[in-house]
Amino acid sequence: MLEVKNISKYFNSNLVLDNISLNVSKGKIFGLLGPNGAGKTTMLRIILNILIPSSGTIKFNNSEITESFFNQTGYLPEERGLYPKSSVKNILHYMGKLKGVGRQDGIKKTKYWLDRLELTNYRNHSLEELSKGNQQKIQFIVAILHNPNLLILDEPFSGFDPVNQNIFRDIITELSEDRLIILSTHLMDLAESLCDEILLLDKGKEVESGNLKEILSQNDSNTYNITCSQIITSELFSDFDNVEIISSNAEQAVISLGKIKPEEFTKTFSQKNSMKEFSKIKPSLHQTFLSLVNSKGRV
Amino acid sequence: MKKILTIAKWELMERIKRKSFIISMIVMPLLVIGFSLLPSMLISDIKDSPLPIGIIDFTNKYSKEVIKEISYNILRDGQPAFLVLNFANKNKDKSDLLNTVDAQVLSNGIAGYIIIDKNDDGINLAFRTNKILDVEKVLLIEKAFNKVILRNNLQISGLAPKDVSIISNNHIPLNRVFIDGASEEDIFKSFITSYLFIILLITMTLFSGGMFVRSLVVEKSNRIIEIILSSCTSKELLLGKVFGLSFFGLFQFIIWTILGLVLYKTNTVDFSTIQNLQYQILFFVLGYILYSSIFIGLGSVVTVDHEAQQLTGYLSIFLIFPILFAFQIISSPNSFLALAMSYFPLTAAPVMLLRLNATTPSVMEIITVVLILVFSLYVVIFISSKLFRIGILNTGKRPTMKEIVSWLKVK
Repeated sequence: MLEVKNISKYFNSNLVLDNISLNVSKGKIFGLLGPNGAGKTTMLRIILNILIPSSGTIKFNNSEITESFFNQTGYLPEERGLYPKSSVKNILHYMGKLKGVGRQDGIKKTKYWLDRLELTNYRNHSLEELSKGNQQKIQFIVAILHNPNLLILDEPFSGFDPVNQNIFRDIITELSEDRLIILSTHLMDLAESLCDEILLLDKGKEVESGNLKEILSQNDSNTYNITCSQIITSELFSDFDNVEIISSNAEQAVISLGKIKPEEFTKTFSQKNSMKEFSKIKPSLHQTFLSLVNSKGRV
Repeated sequence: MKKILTIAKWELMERIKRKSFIISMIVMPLLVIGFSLLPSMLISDIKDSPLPIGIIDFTNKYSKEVIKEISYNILRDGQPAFLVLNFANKNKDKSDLLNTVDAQVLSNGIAGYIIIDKNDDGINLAFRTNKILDVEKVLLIEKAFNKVILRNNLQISGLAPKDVSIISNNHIPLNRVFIDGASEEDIFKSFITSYLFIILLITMTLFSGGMFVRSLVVEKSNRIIEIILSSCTSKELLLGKVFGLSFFGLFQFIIWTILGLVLYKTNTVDFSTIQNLQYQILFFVLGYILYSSIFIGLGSVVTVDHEAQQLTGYLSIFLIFPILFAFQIISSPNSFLALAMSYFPLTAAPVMLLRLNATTPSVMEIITVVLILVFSLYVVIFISSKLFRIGILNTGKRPTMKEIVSWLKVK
């Protein structure tokens, strides 16, 4: 369990993080979301003990962070880069050793991950000889080689094609079963499909936090797809006070029911009109992100 | 400690596997051999050939005797030191004659020529040339001429030829005798060899330091540094890099020492003239580590490659500075200048390398300079670790002096 309490960080007199708290527990993927300059990377660096917070505390498994914490964390930074002139094998051994992995164990783990990501043939190649995607894979192996208890992934999917994005989504899901994962990304679809908990930051302040499903349902705008046998106009909804057409295309439309319950709407509407289809539009994280940042964060 | 050694090993191995290092390992020994052989080559150059000169005697009185007197000067191998051509004044116009002989000098037929002339004050002697000649040889010409004049004057004063000969030949040469039985050749070799350690120190420091700063810039710009700092403390990283760089220097030093020993054993070069070798090595190592630590501290502040090159340039000034005063330091190793530069941390090591070949400073003085260097090293590492902790994550814009000062204030 990672407990981050009331973290604030000043750079000179600039407040870049304002009293931020978060809890991450095993088996769940935690999403740290926010627009550029929100303070995500600073937050990740503080958790990793790279930066010292101006105030606040961090506890890992109920203990204050000590130097042994270094060996329990894995980090994939947003900006990628390793030693281009060095061989894949040497880089992995060096990085593993820095995380406390013994020589024999390191050889075994390196072999496992290189095999799994189909990179065994590049073992003795220098990093600069690999394609960008393969270099990304090596960087990912660096983050997980020592089997960390806390894995921090900053934009883990950037630079990957859709096939590799799926591969890594599966790996991250698999890894989340027995460790803590904090994920920071701009790709809302992937975050939505992976994260259980989120913290939304903007300008160093918390905009929203908690269980992703709950946040989505709280921000549900009660919108539906509707298809009728006649052309849809606002007159069709004259019996309802709060129904609003968001978009329409002849016999199809997207409508917002406001506070009206869908069962009530369908019952009343069907009495006068022939309704072919009526389905709920699930709120997306992307929309929620935008509306939350616009309504809470940026105002 | 384990992580410090892991980083140090990586820093060392990554550098010695590079092509630039392998090339430098070929070039540097060649330089070393060159510098080692230079003293012997310069010494052997003294055994040169006779110097062709001319003589014009407008008085028509002294030329024959001067030529005879000059001919007594012989080289070590028995050859005459001068070959003198007499440009007799055969009623030729003075300026025409000078022009003719000038042409001989300009076409390298002769190195220069003696002009004996009369003026209102008496006899006038000149040596006309366009070359910088060995001062000692020019003095031999002057000595020969004055001997002739003296003999002539003594004869005029009425002394018997026998007495004239006794007086004019009564010249006792000054023999220079060196303590410890060293010869003039040894001292000369030692003088030249003094440069060897300084050149090595400068080359190694700038090569390794420059290489290090550039790699630090790369690590900062591609954010490897963040991954490393998520694995160890900034102090461990700093010490790992200092050790790595020191091991790198030591590795080069060992290779060159082995090479030196091989050359010494095979009598190719003579290192026996180097004085106070143990102290030379001590100051060499201290100087190298001090400069390496400065490079690491300042290297964490720079953000792009050209700034790294600028930094190397600025630091090299302090290293090269003592060479400008090398002659004064070696000829007066206990002068105020030499002592002042020995006590200034940035010039202490190179100046001590120069002084140690010319004199043996007191134990107290050596201890004082060592303490100054060790204390400076402590201060530099303390400041470097502060700069490093924050500067290492700084990318993009170059920090202002105000920002750097604020980094130093962070507890």
